[in-house]
Amino acid sequence: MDSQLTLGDRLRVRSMIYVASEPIPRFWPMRTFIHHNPLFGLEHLPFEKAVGEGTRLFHGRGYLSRQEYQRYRAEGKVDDAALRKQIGAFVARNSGRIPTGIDLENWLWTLATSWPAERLVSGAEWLTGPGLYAALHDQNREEDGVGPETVVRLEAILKRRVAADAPVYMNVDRLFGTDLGATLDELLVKSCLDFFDEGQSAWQAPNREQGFFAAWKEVARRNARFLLRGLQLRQLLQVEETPEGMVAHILRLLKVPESSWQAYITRQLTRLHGWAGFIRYRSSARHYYWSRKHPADLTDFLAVRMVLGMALLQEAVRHHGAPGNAEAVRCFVASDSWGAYLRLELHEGRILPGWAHLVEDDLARRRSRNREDLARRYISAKSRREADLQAKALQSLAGLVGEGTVQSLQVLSTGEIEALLDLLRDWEHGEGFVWLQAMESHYIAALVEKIHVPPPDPEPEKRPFAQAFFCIDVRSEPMRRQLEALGDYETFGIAGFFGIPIGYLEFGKGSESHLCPAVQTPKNLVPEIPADLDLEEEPLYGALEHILHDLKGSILSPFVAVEAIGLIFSLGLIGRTVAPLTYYQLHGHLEAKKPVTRLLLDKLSPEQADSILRAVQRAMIVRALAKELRIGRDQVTDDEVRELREIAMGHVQGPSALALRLGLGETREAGFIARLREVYRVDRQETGLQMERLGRIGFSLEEQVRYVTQALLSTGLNRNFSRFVLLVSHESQTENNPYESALDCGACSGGRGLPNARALAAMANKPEIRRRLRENGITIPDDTWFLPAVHNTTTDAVDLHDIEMLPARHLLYLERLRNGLSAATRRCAARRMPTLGAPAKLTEDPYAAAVMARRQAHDWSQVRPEWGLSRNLYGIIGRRVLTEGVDLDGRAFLQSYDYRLDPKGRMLENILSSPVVVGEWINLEHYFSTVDVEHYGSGSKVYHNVAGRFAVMTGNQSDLRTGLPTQTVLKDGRPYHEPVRLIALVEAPVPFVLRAVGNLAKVRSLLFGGWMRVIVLDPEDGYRAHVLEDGALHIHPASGRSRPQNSLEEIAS
Amino acid sequence: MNTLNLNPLKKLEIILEGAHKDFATDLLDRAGVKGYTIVGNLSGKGSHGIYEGHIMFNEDDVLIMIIVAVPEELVPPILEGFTPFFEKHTGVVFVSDIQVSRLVKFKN
Amino acid sequence: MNLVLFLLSGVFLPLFPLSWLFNRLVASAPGGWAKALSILVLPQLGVLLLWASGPWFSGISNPWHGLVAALALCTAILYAFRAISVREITIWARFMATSGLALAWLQVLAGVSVAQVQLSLLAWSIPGALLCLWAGELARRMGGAYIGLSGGVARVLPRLSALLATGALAATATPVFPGFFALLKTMGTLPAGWILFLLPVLFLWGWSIGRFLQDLLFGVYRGTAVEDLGTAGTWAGALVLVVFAITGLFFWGATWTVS
Repeated sequence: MDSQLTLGDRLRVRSMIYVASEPIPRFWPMRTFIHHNPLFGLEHLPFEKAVGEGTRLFHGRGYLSRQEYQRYRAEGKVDDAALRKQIGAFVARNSGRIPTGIDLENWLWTLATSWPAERLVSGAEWLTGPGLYAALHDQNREEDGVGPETVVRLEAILKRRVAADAPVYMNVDRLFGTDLGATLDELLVKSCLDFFDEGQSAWQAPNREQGFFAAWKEVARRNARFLLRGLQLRQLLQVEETPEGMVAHILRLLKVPESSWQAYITRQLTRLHGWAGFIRYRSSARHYYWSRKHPADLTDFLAVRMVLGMALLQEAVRHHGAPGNAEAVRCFVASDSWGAYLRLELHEGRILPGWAHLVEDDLARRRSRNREDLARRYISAKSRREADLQAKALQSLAGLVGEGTVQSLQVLSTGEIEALLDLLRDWEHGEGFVWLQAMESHYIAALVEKIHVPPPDPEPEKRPFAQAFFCIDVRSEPMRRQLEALGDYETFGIAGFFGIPIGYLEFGKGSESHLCPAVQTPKNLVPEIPADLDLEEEPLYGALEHILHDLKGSILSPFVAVEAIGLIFSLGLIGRTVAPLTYYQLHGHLEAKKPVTRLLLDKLSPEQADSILRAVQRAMIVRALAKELRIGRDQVTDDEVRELREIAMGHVQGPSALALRLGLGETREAGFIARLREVYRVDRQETGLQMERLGRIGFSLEEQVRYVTQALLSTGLNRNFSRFVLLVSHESQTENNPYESALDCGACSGGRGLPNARALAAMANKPEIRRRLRENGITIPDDTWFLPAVHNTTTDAVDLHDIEMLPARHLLYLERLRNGLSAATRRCAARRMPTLGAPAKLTEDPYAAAVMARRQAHDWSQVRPEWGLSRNLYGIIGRRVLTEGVDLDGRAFLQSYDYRLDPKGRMLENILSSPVVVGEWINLEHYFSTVDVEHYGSGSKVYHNVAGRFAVMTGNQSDLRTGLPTQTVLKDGRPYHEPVRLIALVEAPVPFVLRAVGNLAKVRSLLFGGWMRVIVLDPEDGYRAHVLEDGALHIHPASGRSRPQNSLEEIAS
Repeated sequence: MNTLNLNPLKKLEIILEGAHKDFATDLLDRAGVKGYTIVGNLSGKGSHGIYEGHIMFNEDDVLIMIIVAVPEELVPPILEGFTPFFEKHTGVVFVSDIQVSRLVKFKN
Repeated sequence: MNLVLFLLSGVFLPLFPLSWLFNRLVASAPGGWAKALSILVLPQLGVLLLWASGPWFSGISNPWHGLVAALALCTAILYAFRAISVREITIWARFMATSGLALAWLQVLAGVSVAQVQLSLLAWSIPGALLCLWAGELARRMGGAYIGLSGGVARVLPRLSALLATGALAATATPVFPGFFALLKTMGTLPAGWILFLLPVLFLWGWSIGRFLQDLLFGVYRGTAVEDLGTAGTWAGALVLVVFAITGLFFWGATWTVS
């Protein structure tokens, strides 16, 4: 029964919910952790405004505290000149308001650089000019709180603090000290955990296929926990069937005016933005299995929340006599303003402690004659205290500014003091952004100075021993540097998916993983085929493992199995904790070795596809015979299997030869055929779909040529190929880490890029492809071999793959290559381990460092196995010669690019729209997690619990934590990652870059909105650096200088 | 030749950013329309600026138009449903009178 | 028996409804030291008045004795209950002290000697007095001794909070402190059936100390910076508590377990 709600109403509510949900960032399941900008939904606004909006919606701070910035300044990381310039600009903007005799520039400089507290101007409610004047001059203020202006101010304060568009339960919490908000969140999270579980809990919620709201309704009617809390949901749930109807109904019950519905809904949704973000992702992810099975969307979520909120509110009305809807709240406040103010002060914890008990006693009485008097006295005390504190702070600051400033403060009139206070308040409001810009200015100058301007006459190119393509990830930079310093190695940077988006079917896994940036959907499928393909046998050890681990999941097994095999598990527990490396070496023997595999890259011809399908179907039929009819493989002939297949496809009728031979009845056979069709998918429609799917496999020849060409040209490698061209993908290796995908390759959506590397290598090694490339102008010598490899970022080891395909003559050089790689590994580890807590002298001992790095990868108690992408700062798009030998300390994304090979600018557009945007997401994710680790980040890993297998919560239950944990971005309570926006440097002529940017609306709005900084190094303008600032390009003063080339030797020694 | 029997209906042309296609089609489904047509890769000019029209690296930054024919009584609810959306996003809805020959395809 | 003296003793050694006067007297004392002193001295005065009012009672058989015992238990339960909802430390200390002191009546009715009763009164008075003192220190720093407003006081004032927490534990008869042994002794004097009525007192004390510690110790502090108690004050306070505990352990505890 949907009462009085029209279709229009319901559609309108849905629309409002959609609009309200847009600022909430989507939350991908942690198995494919995507670094994304927490304020992604606000990227259409300029950076500063978006941060303010984010603070309003999500209550997260956008900048570090002043003390942190002062510390950075003490460490030399802030450009003082830029700071002064910004202060000067502020003073100039407000020159009309400055009181006479006040040197505002000096005041602000002292405030920013020497004031030891977070805020100078407190958010005082009763502070007035006269009050402050009196406090400064130590005058007595008895008249405060007595006059009529107090009433006016009180009304304004009440209007602000008991906001009309705040949820009613929140206002009731503020007025009565109940904790409806916390209880509501708790109950809602529990309901969400029950519904969205993805196989983690042993007992699953019923009826989930009907949708979130419908399933929840069924359970809520009979939920004992709700009844215990005194919630009566049955009547409420009977009124409406649809979730949007329920939302509208409750909004009407709460008497919220329709013009405020949008704001009200937004506030409700952003309360648990982790869950809301996850539901938002889930409802739009079409290929997500769980979303198809148990559908849910934000309207359901909001409906559940509002029903629970309404029930809690009704219970509070019964218990505490609280007002039950928005209008009642307004009347309550209006009828007893003094009492309402005292309530707010007491229950929000802002009351002066000395008055707390008096106020509490007075409020406990139903009717109090002295309430107004008490309130006025309290207000008088409070305003006096606020004035005293502020006056003391101002005088203290004036003392820091210099002599004579205190006097200049004292001679100010009341109006002038107010003006000064307003100016300081305005300044503090924007101070965080000023500091950010000053820090960026320092780092921009540092980069411009470090960059090598290439000499005008390049030396003749020598053939390097090996060339290597690394991912643009910041962790590749130290490796590249060490490798280049060791010998004749040339390295390039390319996105970790090597430009080839593939849907990868790993051998043994049933599902497809997308190995490409999150914004793309791969169109081609690449399966991994083992060299000895056998569809019917399962390795023995693998089965044992499966049984062992399956036992853990069953409810009864603890009682049964613990005596029998519990000891075996304890070996694992002790082994893993005490001696992780040894344990994993031994465990490795138990696991079945992964067989040698190849990737199927070429498109299947229709005949090939058909025969593969037949083979799979035959195998399915054999398995079905074994399982359903207990007929072994040896008891059936191939012809009989073929006949069964034809019957299942509907080509042939009647009893099969097998049935006749074994004497199976007609019904039994018919039942078997039916099961073949339904369960084992051997039927005609499925065949059609499967053929279509098989058609997705592989790449056509043209596509392969195109991908190889793009990979080579966009990075600038089209000549002077060396003997080995390594394609190094990267992955991380950690134990017991819900964030493991965050450490893997972001360009591969949190997976590993090895399949892409193998695919590109296989393509580039094919003679046919090389012939086509030669026709297009890229000549690859015959003795060049492309070799895929994996860089393990936790241990820094580089492992080569597909070695069995190497031509014989290359094997002679393999030893030298391996030695070089392992030397680079050890030196990287030696530099990296001290940052993770090892003693500093480990830098001298690369072998021990490498062992420690391996231990980090295997230790399941390690909350910080590697720093990951923390401290990322620069994104450099240009040739390696700009940064060769420069120690960027693992802080730069390095993308190789040669603008001379890209006349139309299409490759630059590709780079700007994909890797650069991903880099910006990574940078801003780290930025916001660092400045506010509790709201934008996910808090400490120590308290994390995995929720439903897709996210983490803090503690027993809480909102889903988004963002990065403290262990990733902070060290000993201080920021380890320096929160600064990404500084991108592009080596290309300015008009060229502007044209490319102009073609990309999204990148243009990011750049001009200030979401990242950009420097254009113009080769046709003497390599001068043009910095984008305030919407225009300015030439940086330190640009165009060349640095001597002796840094390489420094690193090698 | 038989004379065609034409029935009057209303046509809605909804122009909006491609990123919101799923939302719009979902809303129309819930309103009870029996089908719709989507035209993609539009270019044009609006109060927010000029749209270029060529495919960006993802499909979200383009304009699309959804054409749907509905009986008259569905027009107010659908317009009401899209009102909160168009308050915050670029796009327009055009309502015009049309006639169709096979009414059964558009109305229950 | 002199009725006037008896009633007066009911004021100083709090017995409902005269306990209200006791609380008024203590509350009106200006400052922490004065409050502490009054909590220490007034009950002693009460016992002396009671002794002066007539011969000691013995046994609960006399119906008047039963009435007084019941009133004492009621006083204890009532003030323990009131203490749960109070967040101001001075008031909390006052209520808890009243609750404990009322139990001394049971010892009096059981015929325990005056000196023993006076000592067991100290078991309740001393923690109450100490809490009033330290609450005064807290009030001087934060404007009021009201806990639970923002929490996290323990983070900014670790020493003072430690003293307050330990003092509060002593006031609620935590073992090691004499209050525990005094309570055991009181239990020993009651006939078996009456112990059932002592249990709510214990339960309420437990609840009360739980809330007190939660409000005092946990939370995030969001206020202006404050200075902690100096080393001298901390050592003095710790010393008093330690001496208090040791005395209770060796003298009371030992004598009780031996006897």
